[in-house]
Amino acid sequence: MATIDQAVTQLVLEAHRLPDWEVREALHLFWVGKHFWDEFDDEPRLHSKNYAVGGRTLGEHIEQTFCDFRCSPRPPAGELRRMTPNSDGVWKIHPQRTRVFGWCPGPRSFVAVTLALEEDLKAKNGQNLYDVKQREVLDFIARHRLESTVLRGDINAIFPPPR
Amino acid sequence: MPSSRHRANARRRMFLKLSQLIEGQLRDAYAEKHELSALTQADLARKLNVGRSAIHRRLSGASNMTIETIADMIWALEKDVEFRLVEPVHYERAFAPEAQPLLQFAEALLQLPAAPPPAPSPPQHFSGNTLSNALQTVLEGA
Repeated sequence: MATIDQAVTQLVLEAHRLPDWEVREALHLFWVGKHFWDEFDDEPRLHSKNYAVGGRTLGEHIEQTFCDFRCSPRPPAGELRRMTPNSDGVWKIHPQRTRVFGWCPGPRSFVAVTLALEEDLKAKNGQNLYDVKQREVLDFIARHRLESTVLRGDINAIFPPPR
Repeated sequence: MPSSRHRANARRRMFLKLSQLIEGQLRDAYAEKHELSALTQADLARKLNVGRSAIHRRLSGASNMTIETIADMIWALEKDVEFRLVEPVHYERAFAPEAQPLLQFAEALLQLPAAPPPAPSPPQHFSGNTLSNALQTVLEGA
């Protein structure tokens, strides 16, 4: 079994770096899988003005959502949703028209493994892309022996209510 | 090759910064009132005489709001606004003066003999922007 720190040392995970335009300090922890940014770079629709929403590309929305997850004191930021079956501990974040899949290795923290466009997730091509992405997260966890880092539970486990 | 997210030009970064500042504060202000059961998106919509989906779009970043719309949102959330332009600061965050003690701490850590891994319990309030960027920089240079 590996820890998050070991995964970072082995370059399996990389600590998310806030961009220089984010002026807030981080309150929450965030890592990305080693291939996440490659996937991000290689998807042209994430960077196309034809797919832009609210004056921003979908990729820029993903970056802003990550920043908001890390820096906002309010849990709804980033719209974190648990995937079924709940026992797997896979969560997704909802930026504009995309979904980011990963798991929570502790309270107020997230590891992003992979992403997909909403239009692909809704496309009926015989294969449920949600299942594929969920399997990708679970395979990533198993391959790098990170099972012990998966925090089970609902949103109150991820964002414990203030006492 | 660096990820495309590091290649945005200064003009674009300014837009991302400003939109994040405005929308982030609107979301936090809304969440704060919503947690107290004092406000819903439907309440905001009624107050501004718009549809609830318009409020959702504004809070979620799906719309590029005009100054008038931003002012409406601030008013409806019963907040006030402070806005000023400042001279730009030209240094990398990780090398900012306040990050220097953290950088030295990170360097000292790297020189210590290997210790058993700590229990996975992330800190509740972690100044991650400065510290994680500083650690990342040191680790990349090691």
